[in-house]
Amino acid sequence: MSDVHLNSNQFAAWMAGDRPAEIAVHLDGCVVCRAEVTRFESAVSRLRSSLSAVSDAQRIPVFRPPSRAWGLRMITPALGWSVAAAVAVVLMAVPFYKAFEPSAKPHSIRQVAAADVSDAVLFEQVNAQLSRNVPGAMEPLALGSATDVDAKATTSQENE
Amino acid sequence: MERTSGLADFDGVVSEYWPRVYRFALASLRDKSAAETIAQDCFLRAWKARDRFRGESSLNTWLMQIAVNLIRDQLRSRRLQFWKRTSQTVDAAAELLADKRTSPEMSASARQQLAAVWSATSHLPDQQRTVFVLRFVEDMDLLEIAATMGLSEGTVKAHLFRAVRTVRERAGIAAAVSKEHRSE
Ligand SMILES: [Zn+2]
Repeated sequence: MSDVHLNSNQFAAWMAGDRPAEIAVHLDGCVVCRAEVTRFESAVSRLRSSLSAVSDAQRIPVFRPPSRAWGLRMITPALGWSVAAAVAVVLMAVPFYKAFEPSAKPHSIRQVAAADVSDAVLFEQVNAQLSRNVPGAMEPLALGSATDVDAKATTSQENE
Repeated sequence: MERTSGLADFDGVVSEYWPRVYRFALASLRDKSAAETIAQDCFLRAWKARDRFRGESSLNTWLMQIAVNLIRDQLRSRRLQFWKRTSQTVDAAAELLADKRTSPEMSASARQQLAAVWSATSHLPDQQRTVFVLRFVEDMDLLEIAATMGLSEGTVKAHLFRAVRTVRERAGIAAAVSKEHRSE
């Protein structure tokens, strides 16, 4: 056995796959260097087995041939929760949207656009619609029905 | 499974190779969620490119090639967002590996050494780390690594040499020997 142990470069070269005869001979006869090689090997082996334990514990997604590019993504738990959260937010937003939705909006706004009225007139009409907008439960108390309101809006535009 | 025909059963390919691709991505990115995304993207790309797989390399090498490219892109984009990066994901991954549930039989000192090696690999340049992980975690030989990374065998060996030297020094594996060196 040589008096000099493996230096850092010799050790790294050995672990990188170089197998010079003199190092092989030294390792054969040197408990200290052999212990270092063993220590390194067991450290990386532990790294491998720990990473494997984590990866093996992962649920493997079921592959659906993606006619759409997001086939795989659709079925992972993380994405499932994200989609569920997004749906919940949309569902929660519906009552608010309903509450603020102008009852006669699609019809009259389209007519307004077609008539190409000035901003001032448009503003007035939107204001009028907003003031007409009452909660659904109070609708019977409001003046006229949605159809009446539309009819009035149409008439007022035609008059202008 | 190693030939083009093996891709006909793509479900089987995913089941067999998912853990490997995920493990490699986890070792490279140190982030479970990013590793999952990389694994998904890897199999989606493989599916899309399945007609181009001629079986010249093994399926494992082919999938790892895709994963290596995805991880490289991910690391690049992370670098561009360097101000957002924290050591949080690294710490979380380290805790995960050293968790008693992950490795119940491991002694405290072994756990410490594992943490030291894990931490040491985080300091490696990207290519050195990729070579190190492919060699010691994925158990690939130098030629397979060269094919996977599109490098020569000599370049792979040089990266591995530097990586081992750094990990040995940083993880304190050399410490005990060095002391004995000095005493002799
Ligand atoms: Zn020695």
